[in-house]
Amino acid sequence: MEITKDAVILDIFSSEMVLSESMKRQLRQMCIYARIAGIDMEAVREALHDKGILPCTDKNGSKKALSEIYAYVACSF
Amino acid sequence: MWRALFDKIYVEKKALDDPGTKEILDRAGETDPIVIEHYKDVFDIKSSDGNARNSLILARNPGRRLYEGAPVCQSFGNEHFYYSPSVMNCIYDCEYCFLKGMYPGRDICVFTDLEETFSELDELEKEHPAYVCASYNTDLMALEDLTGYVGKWCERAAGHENLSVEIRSKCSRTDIYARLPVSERAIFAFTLSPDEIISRFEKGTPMLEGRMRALNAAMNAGFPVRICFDPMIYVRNWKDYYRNMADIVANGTDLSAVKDISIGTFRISDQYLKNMRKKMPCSEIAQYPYVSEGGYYQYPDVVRLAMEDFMKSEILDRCPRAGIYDWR
Repeated sequence: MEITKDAVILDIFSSEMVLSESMKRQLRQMCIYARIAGIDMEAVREALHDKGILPCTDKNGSKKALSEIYAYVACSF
Repeated sequence: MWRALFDKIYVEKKALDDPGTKEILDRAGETDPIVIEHYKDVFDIKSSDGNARNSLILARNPGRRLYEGAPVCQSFGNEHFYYSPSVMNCIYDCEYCFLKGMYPGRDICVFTDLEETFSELDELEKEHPAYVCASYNTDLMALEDLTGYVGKWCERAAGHENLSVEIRSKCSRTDIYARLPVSERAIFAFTLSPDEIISRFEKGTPMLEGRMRALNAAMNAGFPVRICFDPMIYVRNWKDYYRNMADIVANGTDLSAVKDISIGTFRISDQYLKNMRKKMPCSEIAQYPYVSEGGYYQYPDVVRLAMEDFMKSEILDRCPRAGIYDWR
């Protein structure tokens, strides 16, 4: 069930970004960690929408979005 | 006590008659061990139910007895830095431990031919001073009543000017230090963590207060003592946890009398982390999205430097003369 939840969140993010396989792997790892560490990925997504970072339609914008997600997930405690 | 700790006790056929084997079997209260051809016949087999199996294996070391330290190991300025795998695996169950990525299960293998390691050291010591981490792949002090190896290493260091030994531990026992041969070349290093981290990630280990008692016992007996705030673990509220720990440590011992203090955040080789992620899919530590640098995973600089600087400043605020070893 938890793995399904990770996949759903990953799909939601992926639908709003242009991701290479490597970027997708990074995002998947962030989703897994976020779930375990109790970080609300839906709130992260909303924050990125508020900042105008998501959705993005090109790879450069997606790289920026990925690094913003990383900052929320991996560096915010 | 030891017999209850292990499901089974195995002995390699060729180690059966070794004095070291007999000594350990006596201490373990085992008169009828299971005889095997090679330690790997048991040690290398993964349990079908994860890490559940917990055996003791007594064997002869068929390979190298001294390894040069890996780049992620802290050498404390010692040029010739080695570690000795005289025991493989640990009775403690720390979630972040590299042993989880290195070994297939939880079996503990004791190489009973420690004298052979000392013979190799005889040669090395003729060439240059040697610094040996004797408790690298295990917690040697936690096994002392079984192996007696801490005593043997201390004896060796006391009688050999070209040898320094580090015994790193989380063990809280206090009774042993006054009985060991004291030497400035036998360094007892204590890994200290906040109780919140111990409870969550260092299963089976003594709490901070117990480790502090042991640290003070070692220092009172005359041994140089090293404090290792390493690995620091990045979790929610980490600053509160590590600040409280700094208070407890500074109030609990004379930091200016400690030989040195080492500070480091969690880091691990990429292959070990891959193994740990497979074994522990729900581990907050294993599943953190680390950055990769030269074959090792670590926290991103913004986290790593913030944590190390924070800990350094918390210690120096409480004891400006504390000897913090600077790795950068």
